[in-house]
Amino acid sequence: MAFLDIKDVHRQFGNQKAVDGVTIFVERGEFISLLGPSGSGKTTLLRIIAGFEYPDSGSIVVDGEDLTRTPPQRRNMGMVFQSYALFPNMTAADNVAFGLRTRHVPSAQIVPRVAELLTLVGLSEKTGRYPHQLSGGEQQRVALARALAPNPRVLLLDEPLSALDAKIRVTLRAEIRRIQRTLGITTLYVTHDQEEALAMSDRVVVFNQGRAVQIGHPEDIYDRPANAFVSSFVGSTNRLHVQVIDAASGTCAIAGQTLHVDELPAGVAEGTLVDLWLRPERIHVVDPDAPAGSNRLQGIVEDTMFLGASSGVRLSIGDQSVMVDVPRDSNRPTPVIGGAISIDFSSAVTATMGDPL
Amino acid sequence: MKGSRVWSPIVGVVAFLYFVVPLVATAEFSVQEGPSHPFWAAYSSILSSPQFWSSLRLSLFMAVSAVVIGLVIIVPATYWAFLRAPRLQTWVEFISIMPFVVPPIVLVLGLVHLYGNGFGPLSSRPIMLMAAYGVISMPYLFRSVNNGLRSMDVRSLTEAALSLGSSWPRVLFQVVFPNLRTALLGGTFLVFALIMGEYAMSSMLGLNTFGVYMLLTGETRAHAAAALALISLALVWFLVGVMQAVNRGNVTIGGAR
Repeated sequence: MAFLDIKDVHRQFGNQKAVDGVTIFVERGEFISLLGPSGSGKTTLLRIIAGFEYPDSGSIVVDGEDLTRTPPQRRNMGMVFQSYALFPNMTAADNVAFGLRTRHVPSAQIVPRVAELLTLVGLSEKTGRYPHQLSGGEQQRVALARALAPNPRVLLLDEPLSALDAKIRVTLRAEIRRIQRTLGITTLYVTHDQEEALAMSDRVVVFNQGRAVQIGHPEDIYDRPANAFVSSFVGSTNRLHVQVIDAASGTCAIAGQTLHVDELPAGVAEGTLVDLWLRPERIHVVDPDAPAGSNRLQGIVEDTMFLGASSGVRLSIGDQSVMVDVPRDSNRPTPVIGGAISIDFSSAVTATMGDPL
Repeated sequence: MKGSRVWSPIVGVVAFLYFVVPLVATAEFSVQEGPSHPFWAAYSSILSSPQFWSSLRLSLFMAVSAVVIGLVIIVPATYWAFLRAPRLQTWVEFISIMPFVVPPIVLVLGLVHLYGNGFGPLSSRPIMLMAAYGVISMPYLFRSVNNGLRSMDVRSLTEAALSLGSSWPRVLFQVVFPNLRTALLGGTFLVFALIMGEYAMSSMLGLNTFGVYMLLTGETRAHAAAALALISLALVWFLVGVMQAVNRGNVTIGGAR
């Protein structure tokens, strides 16, 4: 049994299944991100874990204790909200002390604990400030300190950085991870930002339509997406419709060119359309005369984009478009729009059953 | 642009005259009781009248009671509907405007008919008036509280407090009410002003409230009535002053000053 067991949780609003049979086992001290688009059920699941919603069926067990029907005030879980939810009538210190006062911790212990936490989040100088006197990033730090003050069993964060600007988001996510590692607290982090989820987490749970469609380490999620949705949602990806020529050898065709796929979906027959999911950075622009790697395709450059460290090249293969990341290299000429281009990519690509074109 | 610059002071002056001239005229009339009386005669006769003080005490008591009823019943109900039953909002709003639709005479007749006999303490007229005031104060308190709740993220604040182990009373008294202070004070003031001048219900129930006293005075003593009108205005201004003093320099809804 894991530290936090989320077992077969269902929650329906009207006809809509918000959470549809989700099971996740979280180990003590683990940082897990719940990643998915809006309305995929990740926030509803977090609210069920926090006790703000009750599941229609399934269970939430923390450290062997069934909390499925326990009200939020008796769960001892820390929650950080997207909107910070700091109490406007209280100073930063009073906000942090709130959870200690509700537990009737003696004042002599509250003062050092508040100071310790505000120092941990880097706000020891701003204890007497009211929320409206703090920036968004500072407010979220106070919210984090407030959630951590009563030593919760589990820390829940509901898109805590989405209201902040990009630069502060990057700084604060590193801070959150540092604090989580320092305290070793079991953490569930809801986000729709895949970069955030991949950068921060021990494991990522990808949500779609109320279901946890893949649970795994960030590298697994990125390199070995379980299905078309994960592939398209996590990171940039190209979707190529190809026709199976020989299922046994994994030979497929696109616009009169052949390629090989290590693993085709089970049961595909010759002539079937399958989708290949290719990351732009896994495709290499090569000299047409260079020896071919696993797969070599020819295309025509449609557009080029300056992306800073690299250039984005959009090329067409038949009637399909492919995006490729090309590292900037002064020795290599920039592809010219309308010119021919050759690309190489590995045969170890994700293939799913394709929709007809 | 040029037109608005010309019109603004004109509108300002007209509005000022519209509000101030009647006050000045009333004040002037109130100090002209006659050559044989000192100019403060009307005021001293009012302030030395036992009926004035008893009616004022009764109305203040009724107003405080209505506010307490509102704070105990209407405010938590509004908060609960806002938080837990957003779909009922339309119904709550509909019910809250009922006192505007039902005339006071119908309300009083209904109360007397229903509770007039056999309901023990509920059958006493002051209690009935108190209950009636509780009902007519509903739209004012509901509107103020509802607007206050809309202007702060009350759901997240409540959930944050609950997740920190707070009980419901603590959520209400340490988180919700302090952040609703401006809205509550506004609603409370409206209820006070309404009840201090209310006549129809108290007169029908035969209770000499401040409103009834004002009307009776107006029927018999014109100068004293003018003085009384100014005294009641001063009372209202005093209440507004208290409200502002209580609220000044403190954090208001949503954390903004």
